[in-house]
Amino acid sequence: MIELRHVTKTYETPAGPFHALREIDMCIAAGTMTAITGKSGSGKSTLLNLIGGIDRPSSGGVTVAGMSIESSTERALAAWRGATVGVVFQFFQLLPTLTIVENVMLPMDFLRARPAKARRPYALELLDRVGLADHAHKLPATLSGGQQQRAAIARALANDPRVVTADEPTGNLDSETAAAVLELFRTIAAEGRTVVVATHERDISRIATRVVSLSDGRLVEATTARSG
Amino acid sequence: MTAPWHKVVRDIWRERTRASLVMLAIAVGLTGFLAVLSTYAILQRELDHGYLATNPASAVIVMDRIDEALIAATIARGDVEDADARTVVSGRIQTPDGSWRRLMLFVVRDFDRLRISTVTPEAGAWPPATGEMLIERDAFQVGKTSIGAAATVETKAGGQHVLRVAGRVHDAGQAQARMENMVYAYIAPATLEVLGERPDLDRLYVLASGNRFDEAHVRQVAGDLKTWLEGSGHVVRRVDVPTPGQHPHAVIMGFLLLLMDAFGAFALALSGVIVTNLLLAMLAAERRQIGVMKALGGSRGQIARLYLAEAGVLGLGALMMAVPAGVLAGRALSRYFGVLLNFDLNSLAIPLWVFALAVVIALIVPLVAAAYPVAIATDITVRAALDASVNATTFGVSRLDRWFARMTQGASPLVLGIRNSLRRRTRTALTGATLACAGAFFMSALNVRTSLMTTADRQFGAGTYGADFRYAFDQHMLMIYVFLIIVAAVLASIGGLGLTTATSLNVLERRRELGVLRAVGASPATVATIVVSESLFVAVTAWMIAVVAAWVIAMGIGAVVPRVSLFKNGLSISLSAIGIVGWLGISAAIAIAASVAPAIAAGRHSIREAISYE
Repeated sequence: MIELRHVTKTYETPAGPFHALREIDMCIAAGTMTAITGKSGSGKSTLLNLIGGIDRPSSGGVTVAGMSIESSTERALAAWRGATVGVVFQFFQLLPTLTIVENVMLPMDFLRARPAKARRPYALELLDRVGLADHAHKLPATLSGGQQQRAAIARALANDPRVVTADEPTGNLDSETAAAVLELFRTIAAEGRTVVVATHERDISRIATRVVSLSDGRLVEATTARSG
Repeated sequence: MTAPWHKVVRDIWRERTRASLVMLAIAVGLTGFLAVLSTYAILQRELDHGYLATNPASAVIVMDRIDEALIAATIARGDVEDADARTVVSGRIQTPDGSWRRLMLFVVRDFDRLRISTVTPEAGAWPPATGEMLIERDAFQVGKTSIGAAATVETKAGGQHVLRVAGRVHDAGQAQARMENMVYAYIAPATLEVLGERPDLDRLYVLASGNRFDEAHVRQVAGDLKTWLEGSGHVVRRVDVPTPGQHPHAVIMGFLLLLMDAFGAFALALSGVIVTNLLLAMLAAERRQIGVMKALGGSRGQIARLYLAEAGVLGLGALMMAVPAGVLAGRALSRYFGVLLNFDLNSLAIPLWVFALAVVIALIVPLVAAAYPVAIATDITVRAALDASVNATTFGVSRLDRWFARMTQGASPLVLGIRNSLRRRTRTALTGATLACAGAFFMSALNVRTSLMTTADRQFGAGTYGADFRYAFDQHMLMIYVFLIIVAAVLASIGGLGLTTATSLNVLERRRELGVLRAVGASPATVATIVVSESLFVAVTAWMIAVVAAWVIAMGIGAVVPRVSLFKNGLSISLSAIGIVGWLGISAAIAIAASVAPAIAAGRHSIREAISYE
């Protein structure tokens, strides 16, 4: 499902080149939940961005659900992302002037795979699934951090993606809320989607199929946390 | 409505202050453009209507003596619909203070049967009795006379005689008496005899049959008439065929109005520059949301359409503000020109095409202004849009930044303000360019006036401004000068609006930074000084550019102005010191005024609020 071959990523900064990833080789099977751990600056977000088609490798190859990231145009990647990848951001990144249900509808409006009249009912269904049906018509600023993150997860599922990426989804949440959010990801993975989460959470091994550790852009450890 | 379009509407509401500034910037330019376009449409229509209402002659044949039999014979011709006879005698008239003004006496054969090139009675007697004259309404100021007064009139052959002013008329077919510094008077043939002149009528006014507006046809008729008259033993000295249906001054007025339209379009373009600046700032604030939408599958085209639609909505909002203001201003301007050009406006109705054009422009201006900001904003990669470090300022990276930092050493508020102006180079450049254009125009207007006065003094003699022999010239120049100053004032307003919006944006974006300054001990006065000095630096830099530009424009005018009758030896180019110093003062005042409100706003928030601002 997800394959990285000799992937490096280097950024040019005013202080000189910064090697975010160095010679990464890894495969992620479909229907699994993979946790990427490591200190700040270890390359977790960069790796996630490559998998999500948000960034391209400086060298090497990244193939996700049959899509070659490095050789695709930006336009093709945008359409592919909409259909294939659900992205969950650390700081929720809900559009502040859209209600929760409209935020969930946004990816559907971009992809236009679902008929227009069917989008709102499906968005409400997703919100109900994450326990936010009663808050559908509220604006993000009126919700708690945990509620906003659950709304963001519902948005990520809007186009029924095969892959879900989440960058530090619990970084701004209290421990109880964080646990609830991680449980949601476990449920999503159990549906057969491929979930990749970058996290600092120590308890991630309880729910992740596999845990991958990064240090200074290199893969230092990969463990199978639990089966299935 | 889909979610993206909800975003368009609600984004405008959320950023209503900035959105209002965008609408205001478009509205100012659009109002000016609409005003001059309306004026153009009204005056072109009314001038021609008013002129046509006088039933202007198709041709005027200057010949030897015309009698009733000749008029009847002319009318009897198949190619002539009507005919009349007049004469024009030049002379002078004495004003109550003893000075003399040029006089043109129009001798009307029969006031009660005036059918061609008519004049309209407005007050007093009609027709004038023997020994009386009617004065054109615009000439009363020139002759400094009034109905019922007596005036001494002198003609070449007749000497001096006293005539009584019996009434006031309006002659829509004549140039403005004030501009020509001439009195137009209308008398009967018997009065001409009283003046000692021969009461002979020598100008045959004819109305051609058929299509009177076909110049070729009219010229044919006039030519045939000339041949017939000469064949009948008459002497024809001259045949005048005015452009059919067109007021004698329609061309020059049309040129002036088109010039106004050009400057209106220029003002619109400048306001578009302000809109670009504002949209650059608005879209910079949208960077992260653009990245999110791209991550969620939005294509560049889809996202660009959203923001272009926002710009279009703002344009329509500006249109709603500009239409009533533009209509009012256009009608006021039309009335002013009507008085100035001495013709009546029967209707101030503005044609539909003017409004249609305004709608098109209200959409085009923001879309064109938004094109570059939207292209820049949507070109960003998802990673760059979401990466805070990429969004951070890059001041200090380039050599220019480092050189500038060395040149402006120290941490005084003045130095901080000056360096701040370089942090948003595009915004500063656009703002400065707008101000510089306004300044260059302002100074050029004063330079043109100074140059014209210098040339006139050289031509007529120093110290003769306002004298009778150059009065008409001075009045024409004054009209041009007033027009230039009005346009300069409009452009200065737009430049000031640009500086105000840029300063407001700068303060808003640096709210956290200013909060940090206050946290480390800067007083509100220090913060205000930083804000004002940034604004002043931009204004002074723009002034310097404007001075150079105005000098270049002056040289260009001096080289281009043809050596026409009045400028036999070319135009003496002079720079106006008042303009140069004056614009520096105006720029500084605009800069201070533009930064007062943002400076106060910067100090209003608590340090905690300012530091936590995102």
